[in-house]
Amino acid sequence: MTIPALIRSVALLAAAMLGSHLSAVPAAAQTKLDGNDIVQSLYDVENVAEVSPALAKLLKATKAAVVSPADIQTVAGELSNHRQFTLEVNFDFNSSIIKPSSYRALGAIADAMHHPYLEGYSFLIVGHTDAKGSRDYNLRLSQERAVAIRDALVTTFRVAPNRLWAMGVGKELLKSEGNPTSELNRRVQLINIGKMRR
Amino acid sequence: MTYRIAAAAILITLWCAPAGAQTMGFAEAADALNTACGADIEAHCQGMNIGHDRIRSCLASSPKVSGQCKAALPKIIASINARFAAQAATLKVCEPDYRQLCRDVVRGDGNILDCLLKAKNAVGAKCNQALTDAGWR
Repeated sequence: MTIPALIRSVALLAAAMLGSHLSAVPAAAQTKLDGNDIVQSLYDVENVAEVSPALAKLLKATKAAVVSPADIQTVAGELSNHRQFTLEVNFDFNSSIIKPSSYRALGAIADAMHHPYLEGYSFLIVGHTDAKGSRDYNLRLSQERAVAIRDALVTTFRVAPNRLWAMGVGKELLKSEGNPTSELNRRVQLINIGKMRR
Repeated sequence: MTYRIAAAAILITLWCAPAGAQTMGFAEAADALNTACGADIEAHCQGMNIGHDRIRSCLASSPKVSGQCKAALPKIIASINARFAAQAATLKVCEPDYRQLCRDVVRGDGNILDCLLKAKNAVGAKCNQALTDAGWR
């Protein structure tokens, strides 16, 4: 890994652990998002991501149901230690329909998923909402949205389905608790979860 | 007049792949889809999500879709398919170069890619082109 990439990954890790909205990683919507930006952040050759039994169990549960706030809190710390990338994906109101303005973001994720540096790794797509609306509503909506992203990646962009997991965490892990309805909270995380296949 | 300029701009965007590349990345192709067809998708494909061929089907079958979108769509699809094909072919095309120059490299984490990129002056033209077309240079 190059020195700049190493510095960046340390900054990323620090930002993720601090949970600061002044993260060194910009939400990638404002500039043209590129697959290479994502590869850099998800590349994990020095720190092969392990999945705890609790996280493994939760991941498997995502295939059939919405996860609970308690289970989310159980794995939040662990997930924050994994290589990850945060981006903005825009959906229609109250819907899991991805807006065409976010198609580029999907394509960039696909470019990254198809890159040899990330070959062999699995990824968790985490959908987050802001705090408007009930916990339940947001858990369900964010799960549907994460699944919609996964579906597009698997079908339109031919990412192997056994490498992609999708989980909605609603408003349980707000990025900006001081501004709970802020758009900063409405985000998607891509998290490298090592070799665990779906 | 503006439609023709827009259409020209879209076509130029579609064909302005990185120097030497015969294919375009998925991000660019998806971006072109939004540029050429975003308004049509929002107007005529409501309730349909990208994935499972829904958007392409909708755009192909709706009579109200704009001329610029109808013209651009097959090119965008061809771009995406070309990228899939290029990536799939690379392993085979580069196999002789791998055997000659990177035989001891263990596959994983882009190790073989790194080896081939580093050895680009010794790698054959076909493999070098394949790596460029796959978007992995």
